[in-house]
Amino acid sequence: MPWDNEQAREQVRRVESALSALESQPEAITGARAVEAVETLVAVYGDCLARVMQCIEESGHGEVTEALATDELVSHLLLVHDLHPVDTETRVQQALEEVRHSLGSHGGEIHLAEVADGVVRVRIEVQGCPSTVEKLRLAVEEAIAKAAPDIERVEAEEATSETAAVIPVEALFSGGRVAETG
Amino acid sequence: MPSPLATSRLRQFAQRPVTSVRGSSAESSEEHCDLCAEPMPTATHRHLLDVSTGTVSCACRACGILFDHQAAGGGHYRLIRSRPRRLDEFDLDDVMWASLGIPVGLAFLVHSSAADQVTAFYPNPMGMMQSVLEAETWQEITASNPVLSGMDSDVEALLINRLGEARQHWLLPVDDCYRLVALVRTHWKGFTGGTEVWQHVERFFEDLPQ
Repeated sequence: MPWDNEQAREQVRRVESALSALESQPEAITGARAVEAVETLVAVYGDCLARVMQCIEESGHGEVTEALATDELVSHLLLVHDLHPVDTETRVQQALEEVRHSLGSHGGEIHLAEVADGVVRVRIEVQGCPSTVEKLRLAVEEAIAKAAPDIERVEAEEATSETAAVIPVEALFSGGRVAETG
Repeated sequence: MPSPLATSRLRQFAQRPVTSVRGSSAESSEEHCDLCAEPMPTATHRHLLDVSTGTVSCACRACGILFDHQAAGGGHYRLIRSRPRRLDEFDLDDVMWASLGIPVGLAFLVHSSAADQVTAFYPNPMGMMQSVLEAETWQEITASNPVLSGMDSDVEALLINRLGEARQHWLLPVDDCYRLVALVRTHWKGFTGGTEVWQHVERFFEDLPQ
């Protein structure tokens, strides 16, 4: 009988805190051996998962792959092992869509500028105080970290609507070309 | 300045390159230091003896230095030095050997600093037997062989090989002796050991640096 999603989330949290505790193990040898055991075990399960995914892919049942990718726990573990069938950019787009959806009332706009080399660049346009911008930026980072752990950094460019009309400083030094605002 | 995104610990464990077995072979695989978990070469790393429990741990170079009792000032770890030395002029006649009461022609003797006594270890069908030497017997052996005054307690052994025609004596790090024990345990058959085990033992001696 599989766990429901809430039980699965709880187990994932337990894994995280247990692994954090391992690293502060006072007895060096015991700690090192425990870490080694976990690493080896995780590697074995990861390779098993890779074989399962490959098997499904070869059988031509794309709908099974899709169903697995939408399961919260399976998706989480596929991400852990870099096996997720949905490509990084699509996952980033989906994550941003979720943020837009949940923060719709804040009147912010999030534009995805680029996904390259483990870095996501977004432009955030928002009317309001700096803390609103910051809240939005954190929400974006959190959503991307969850949906695309293969992304290392999020670079957010802010454009508040009051400053959008002002010529950006860098435009003064770029041979007179004014950067497009959009 | 954008900060790196937080990733889950599980992913960190899964992504650690040190455990990656992809494309690695038995020769290139690395072990990890038992003390600090740093990767280290399989063939050439050092060992530490925990004097209080008698267990041997693999150690990287840094930990070998750090935990050697002389450097660390009396911890319970002793660095096992790797310098097997063959003792060519060793004086141990058949009468003296018989007085040790060791039933097979292969044994290693270790001086324990904690108990201040010498124990002889020798193979048998059960694996390894041990017996404590009489203090006078050991004194007699050391009196005829001054070279033994340079033998480290706990981490070095006098290995005596009198199998067949052999009359060999070595000062060996105890981790090499444990390797020999493992050989005997793995290949021993029946009551006498069988020919295979002694071939392995012979090869062990041939492979020791002369």
